Amino acid sequence: MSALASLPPDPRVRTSIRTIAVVVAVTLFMMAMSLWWGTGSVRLGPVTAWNALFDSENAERLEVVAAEARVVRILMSVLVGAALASAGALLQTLYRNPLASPEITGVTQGSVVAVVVWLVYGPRESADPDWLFPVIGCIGGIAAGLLTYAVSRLGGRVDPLRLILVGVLLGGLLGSLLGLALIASDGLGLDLISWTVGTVQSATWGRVGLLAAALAVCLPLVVIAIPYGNALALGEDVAQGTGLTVNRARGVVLFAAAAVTAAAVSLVGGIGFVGLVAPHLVRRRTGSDLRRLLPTAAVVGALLVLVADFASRNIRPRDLATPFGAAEMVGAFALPTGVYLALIGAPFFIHLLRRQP
Amino acid sequence: MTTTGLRAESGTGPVVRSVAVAAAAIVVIAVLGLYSLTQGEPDSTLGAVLDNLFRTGPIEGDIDSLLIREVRLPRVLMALIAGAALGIAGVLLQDSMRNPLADPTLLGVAQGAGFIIALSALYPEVVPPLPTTILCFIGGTLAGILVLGLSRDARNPVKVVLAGAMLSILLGTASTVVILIAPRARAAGVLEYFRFVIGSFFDVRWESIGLVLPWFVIAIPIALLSARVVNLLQLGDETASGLGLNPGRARIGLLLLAMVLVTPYVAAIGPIGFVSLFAPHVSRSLIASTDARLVMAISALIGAAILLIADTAARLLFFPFEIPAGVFTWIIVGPLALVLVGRLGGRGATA
Repeated sequence: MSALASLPPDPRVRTSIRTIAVVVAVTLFMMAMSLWWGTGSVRLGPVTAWNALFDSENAERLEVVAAEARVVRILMSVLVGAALASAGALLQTLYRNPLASPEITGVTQGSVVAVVVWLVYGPRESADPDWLFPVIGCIGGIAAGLLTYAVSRLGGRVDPLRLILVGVLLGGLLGSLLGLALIASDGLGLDLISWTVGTVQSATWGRVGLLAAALAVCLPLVVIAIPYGNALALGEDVAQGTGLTVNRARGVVLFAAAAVTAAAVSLVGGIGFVGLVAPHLVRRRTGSDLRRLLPTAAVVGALLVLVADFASRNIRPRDLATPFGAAEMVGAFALPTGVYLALIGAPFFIHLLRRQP
Repeated sequence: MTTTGLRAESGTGPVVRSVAVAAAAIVVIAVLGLYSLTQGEPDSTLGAVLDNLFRTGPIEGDIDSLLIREVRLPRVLMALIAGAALGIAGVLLQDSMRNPLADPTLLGVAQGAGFIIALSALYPEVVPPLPTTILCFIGGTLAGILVLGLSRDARNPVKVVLAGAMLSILLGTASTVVILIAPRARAAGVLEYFRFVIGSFFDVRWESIGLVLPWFVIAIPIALLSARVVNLLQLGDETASGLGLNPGRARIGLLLLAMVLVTPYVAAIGPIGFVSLFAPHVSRSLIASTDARLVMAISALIGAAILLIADTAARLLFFPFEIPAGVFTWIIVGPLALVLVGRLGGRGATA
């Protein structure tokens, strides 16, 4: 906070605070609506939902179970969205390109592949503890991130182009391995495939706690990375002129983004596009200073995943296909959260592509 | 790729070097090709291979003839044809866009083709009944045009690569959606899609050769004839139009030609990463020239050699287990391509 206070008065500080307040309000409303509005087999009104939440005596009542399941998903969505949006803000600053996002660092793919490979090829005699595969996913994601950085560094300089290329290269390789594992995974099938695009469906209290703890550990890292990111945003030469070791600064920012991304995707799978979209939605109001951009983007990211999960819970593709007489062409599978985020992300992507400076 | 069309030559000329490099590549291809034909379960003798290569007529009952002529030979041929096509396509894309990283892998071409494959495997009723090669051509070309066309500045490597990466992710998600909403009864198509994704020579038979050969026969001569146009484009748009060329139109034509070269092989063997990025760069540094006529020829040979090596290694390294050639090229060719890109780093990073 002291750093903020020493800034010259900037009108965008006030705009940012106002933006955050509005988005937080919308997010809270969305959380509430997500809790009581649903087309599933159990219908909860606002009052029923509220009562069910605090009804500890009848733990088996259908409403109580449903309300609790929804709360878990809501919390998971919020945490994941905030994490990925923060990573996206850091990466867009690092690459100095509005198209950068956590998916291109190899971290997302690394985590997804680690989990899928573990589930397909790993030993399956005993029931795994709840925390095991997130830890594996996290290790896979961070390993992929470190590999990206290490390979980019081989030539001496860590420039954005090399980071992107290595990320793409690693992503392609991991995609190949993922295909192999999925072919070998008869029986696990669709659940694994939805994991590859990301789903909040598998959330439990334990996993929410795990993610919250992991993000709490990452928070200091992100705070440390913010000034580095801001310095890098000035351009390599200026950054160097301020006495910054550019390679190390890039490493710090990349690692912070990778750690946050790995924590999130190891619990929900390969959710993408939050990191691409969220920073853009707020940049015009907050400016590019990460101190304002990152927290605002985090709240917007939470809102985005919340909306996507709400859609994923309540939209059934078969119902949509029925009016067109195509019901028999569509299976009963509810689409995972990541699909709706991609739907939000696709027009954005095209827009950004066209508007690139 | 230097921005000036020609480099100052010292000592041997590029033509002499090209002949030497070409001879070396042909020797490698011949030796490795014959070796690859002898290896398998069971191994065949070199004599049997030569005997079967130069004898037409019906296959005799022995296992050697069957393996060599029906299983191994098509694979070797496919590796050579696909490698040559990828090598030439890389030169066309890099030089016409004047972007050292213009590469089908990086333009989302494979994912565009993959989406069409997923669609036609799971929803054959919504896809026109065309051969897979044509479908892949349509999907891949649309993805490539989307990335190059929408990113405004096709010469900027960072923009194009990022746009390609994000489009690939988007198209991958779209394919996943197709898989997820399809009824369970169509699950067999899912396997088809994932077999495509990994990129391998597992299923290559004579039919696959027949599928890609027409494209190859048409596109290669056109590509070689267009080398002059490519050379003009290398000089820059102003010079090129001063010499009577419409750069925009030429670029679109060359892009389409590159897609004609690449997508049939994507349809037959899946995405094979980075060969078309790597082969042209290696060729240029080996012959120390950027003359597209020479680079194209050498790049074709080097591409063929790389894919032959990849296929042979993928098949034999962990025998009897076969790793997909796609995985192998990602691991081996990818880093090599990166080293090359590192050398170009100074220019690329200015974006």
